[in-house]
Amino acid sequence: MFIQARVQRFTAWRDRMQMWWITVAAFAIVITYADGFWVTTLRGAVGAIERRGSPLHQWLRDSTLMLPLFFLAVMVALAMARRVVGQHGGLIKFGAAAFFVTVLASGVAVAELGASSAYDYHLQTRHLQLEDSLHHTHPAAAPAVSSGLPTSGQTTAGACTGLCATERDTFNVHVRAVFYASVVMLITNFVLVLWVMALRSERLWRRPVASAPTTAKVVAPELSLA
Amino acid sequence: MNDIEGVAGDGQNQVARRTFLKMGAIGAAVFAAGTAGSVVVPDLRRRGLWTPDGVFDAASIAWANAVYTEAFPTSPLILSPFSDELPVPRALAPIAKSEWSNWAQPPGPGLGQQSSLGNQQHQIWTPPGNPVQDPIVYHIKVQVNQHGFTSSQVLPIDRFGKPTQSFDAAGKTYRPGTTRTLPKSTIHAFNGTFPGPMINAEYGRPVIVRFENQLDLNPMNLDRQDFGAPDLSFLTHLHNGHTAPESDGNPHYSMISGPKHHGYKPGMWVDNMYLNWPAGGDDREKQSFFWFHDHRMDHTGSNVYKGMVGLYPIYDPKNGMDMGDERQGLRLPGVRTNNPDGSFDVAYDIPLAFYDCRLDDGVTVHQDIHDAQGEFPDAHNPRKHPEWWGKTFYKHFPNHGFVGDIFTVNGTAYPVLEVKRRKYRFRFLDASLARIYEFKLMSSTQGPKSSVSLGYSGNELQGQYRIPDGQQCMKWTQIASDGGLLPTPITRDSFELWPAKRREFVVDFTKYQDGTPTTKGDVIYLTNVMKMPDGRMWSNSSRFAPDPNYKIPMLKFVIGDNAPDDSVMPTGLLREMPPIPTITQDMLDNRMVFEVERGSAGGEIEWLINGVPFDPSTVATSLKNPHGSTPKAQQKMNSFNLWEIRNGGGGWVHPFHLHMEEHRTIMRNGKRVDVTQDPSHPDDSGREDLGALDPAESVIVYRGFRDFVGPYVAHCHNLAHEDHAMMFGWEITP
Repeated sequence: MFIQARVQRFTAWRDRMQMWWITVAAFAIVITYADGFWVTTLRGAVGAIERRGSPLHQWLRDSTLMLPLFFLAVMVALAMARRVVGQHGGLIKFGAAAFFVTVLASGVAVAELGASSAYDYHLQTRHLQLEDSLHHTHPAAAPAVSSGLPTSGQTTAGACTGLCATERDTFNVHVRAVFYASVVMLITNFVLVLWVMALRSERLWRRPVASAPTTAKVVAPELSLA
Repeated sequence: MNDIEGVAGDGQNQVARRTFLKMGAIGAAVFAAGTAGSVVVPDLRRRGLWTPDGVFDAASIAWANAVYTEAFPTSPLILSPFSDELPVPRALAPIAKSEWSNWAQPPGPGLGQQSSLGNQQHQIWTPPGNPVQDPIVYHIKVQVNQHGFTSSQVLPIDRFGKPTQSFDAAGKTYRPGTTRTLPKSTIHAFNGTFPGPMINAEYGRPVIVRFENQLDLNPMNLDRQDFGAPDLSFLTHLHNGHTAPESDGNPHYSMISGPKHHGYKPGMWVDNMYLNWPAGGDDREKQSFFWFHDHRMDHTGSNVYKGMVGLYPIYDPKNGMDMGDERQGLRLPGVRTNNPDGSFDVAYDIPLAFYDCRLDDGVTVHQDIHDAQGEFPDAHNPRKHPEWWGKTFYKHFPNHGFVGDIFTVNGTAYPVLEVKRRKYRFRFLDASLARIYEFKLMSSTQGPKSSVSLGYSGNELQGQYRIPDGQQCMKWTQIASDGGLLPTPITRDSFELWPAKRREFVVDFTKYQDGTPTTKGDVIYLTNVMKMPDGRMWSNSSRFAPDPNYKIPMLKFVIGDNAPDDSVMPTGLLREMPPIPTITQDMLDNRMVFEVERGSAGGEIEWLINGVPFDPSTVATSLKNPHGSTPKAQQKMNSFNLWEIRNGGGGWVHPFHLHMEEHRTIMRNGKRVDVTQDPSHPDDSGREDLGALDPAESVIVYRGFRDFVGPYVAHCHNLAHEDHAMMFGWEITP
C-alpha cells in the first residue's frame, strides 16, 4: 500500500513535470561525461600527485557520481525555460532552453572544477611544504653557504618569496586553469546542447497530458519550434 | 502560433524537419569522428598516446601548454655560418707528482683525504690485481669566465624572422636591421672553458681529478645572470665511470654523505678517483668515451647549460687493442702522440660535443619559478633584460625540457672542419639539456640557406640554416655506444643521439657511399634531420613522420689533402660482450620496476618515478613486480639483477640514465632483443648507460653491482626532468 502510494505520487510528480525524460537524460549524460573529461584532463595537467591514476577510470567514476547532479540541473533548467517562455514557441523556446541548460549545467561543471582544484591546491600546498623542508632544511644538509649569496628558498622579511611564492604561483596556476576550462566547458556545453536538441528533434518538454490532442497520430505531442 | 496547431497543420514538414535535424546531428557526429580519425588519431599514434588513457594525457598536455607560459626568445641570426673552425680539444696536462705532492693537502688514500671537508675516504685506491701506483693527478678549477659561440656578425630577428631591435649592456638600443657582434656569455665551467678540458685516459692508469670550486672569484666582475646554482655549488659526475659513490658526484651521496649539501661550495675541493678499471676487472666491460658534467641537485640543467661539461675518452692499451694507434689492435683511426707532460693526443680521433642554446633578445620576460623562490634576487624578475641581449638565455621552469635554436659543436655555432682524405673516428656526445639529434652526412650543391630566407618562422627557425637540396652522401660505421665498443660494427644511414648518449663512428672521407672518390674542396655537412620544437619529444624524424625539408647543417666538412692512413674500416669482432646468464622466469618475475611519469605538484611540475619525486635521503621502492613484491632499490655488492624501466606515457620521451655500471638491454616492450631486434633501437645489442625510452616504451636491463658500496642514483637525462625530481636513489650494500 505504502509502495503503491509512493509510486502514485512519483507518477503524478513525473506527469506534472511534463518532461521528456529521455531528453533530460540525454542532456545530462552527454554534458556530464564531456565536462568530466575536461575536469579529469585539467587535473592531469595541474592537479596533485596524490590524485594521479588512470584518467579513464577517474573520468568514468567521477562523471558517473556527478550524473545525478547534472540530471537535476538539466531538469531545473528546462523547467525554468518553460516557465520563462510560457506558450512561446519557435526560436524563443529553443533559445531559452539552450540558454538555461547550458548555463545551469556549466554552473554545476564549474563548481565541480572549482572543488576539484581547491582539493588539488590543498594537497599541493601540503606537498610543497614537505618538499621545501626536504630540499632546504633537510636534517642531513649542512647550513647554507655563508658567502652572502642567496640560498635556495630564502625568504625576505615582508616579501612573498620561497615557499610563499611557490604557493602563490600554484594558486595562480589553478585560477588560470579554472578560467580557461570554464570557457571551454561553456562552449562545449552549448555545442552539445544544440546537438542533443537536434538529435531529439525538438522534444524538450511535453504539453500537459489533459490538453494533449488524441487525434494527432502523425506527430508527437511536444511543443513545436515552428 | 499554437504549437499543436503548428504541428497539426504542417505535419509532414514537421517530420521532415525533425528528420533533417536528426540527420544533421548524426552527420555532424560522423564528421567529427571522421576528422578525429584522420587528423587526431595519427598524431596520437605518433606520440604514443593512442590508448584510452593516452587520449586523456594528450588533452592534459594541451592544458599544460595553455596554462604554463613557455616564452622563449628568438636568437639573432648568425650571418656567416661555417666560418669559425671547429675547436678540436687537446688533452689536458696532468700535474707532475713533484708538484701535487707538495700541495698542502695532497691526494691520498687516507681517511679525510678525499675532499676538503675531511670526512671521507676513497673506497679503493688501487684496483684489485693492479700494481700499487700513484694515480695520474689533474687539477680542474671550476671558474667563472666568458664564452663566445661565434665570431660572425649577427642580425637580431624576431620570431617571425623579421629584423628587430637589439640592445647592449650600456643601455643603448639599436634599430631593426642593425647587424651586431655578439657579446660573450658568462659561463661557469671547468677551467673556465666550454667545453671544458679533455682528459685522455687509459685503462690501467687510475686518475684523480681534483675539482676545486673557485666560482666565488669573479675578477672580471661578470654578470652571472639568473641561472646556475644560486649558491655556486657544484658536483661533478663522470658519466658513466665505474666509480665509487664518493667520486661519482651524485645527489643521493652528496646529500647524506660528504658535503651533506647539494654540492661542493665555493672554496671547497673534492678528489674524484677514476680507477679506469672495468667493472669486475672484466676486459669485456671496458668502455671508450665518458664525459664529466655537473650533477648538483636541482640545478644540474642550469649548471650544465652554463658550461660545466668536460670530455673523457678512455683508451684500452691492452695488446694495443684500442690505444689510439691505428697500426695496432683494432686499427681504428688515430695517430697517437705522447706528450712530455705524460698526456697524449690522438689525431683523427675527434670528440664532438653537441649543445643547443638560446640567446637573449632583450624583450622576452624572464619569468621563472626559481625567481619566485628567491634564488636570483638581483635579477628582479619577472622583467625583461635588454642588458643581457645576445647572451645565453635559460629558463628552469616551466618547460618540458629546454631546447635552443642555435646548434653548436664543441662550443662553436656552425663550425667548419677541414678533414684529410682518410678515415676519421668521431666520438659524438649530446651535451644538450633535452634535444635529441638525428645525424646524416649530406652534400648540397646550393649550400646552406637561412631558414628566414626560406620563409620559415617560429619554431621552424630552430637551427637557423637548412640545406634544401641536401642529399645523403655517406654512411656511418658505428663502432661504439655509451657502453663502449660494440660487438660488431653497424652500418647506418643515420643515427639518433639522445641527451648524454655517446656514439662513435668511423667515417671514410676518401669516397662517397656510391664509391665515387672525393676530391679536395668537396663539402659534406653533418646534418640534423630530427625536428624537436620543445623538450617533450620530436615532431619529425626518420622514424616518425619525416620532414624532408628539415635538414639543419651543423658542421661543415671540407675535404682537404690526402694523408697517410694505416687504419682499417672495422668489419669483424670489436669487443666480446660480457656473458649474460640464462634469464629464468623467476629472475624476470623478481625484477625491480621503475616507472617514469609526469606528475604535477603545483608551482613546479614534478617529474616522478613510481609516483613520487626524488628524495635524496633514501632509496626508492620498486613497483609491484610480477612476483608480487615491492623490493627496495638495494643490491648486494657483486650481485646482478634485472631492472625494468617504464615510460609511464604522457607523450614524453625519456633518456633514462643508470649510474655506476653500464647495462645490457634484455627486453624492449616485452620482446627479447636478442630474438627480435627493434629497428628503432639498433644498438640495444651493445652496452649502454642510458636507456632511450620512446613514449610508453619499457626496457628490461641486466645490471651488475660490482666492486663498490654506497648510494647512487638513476634519473632522466632530460635535465629539466631531472632537476624537477625525476630521479631516485638506490644503493649497493656490503
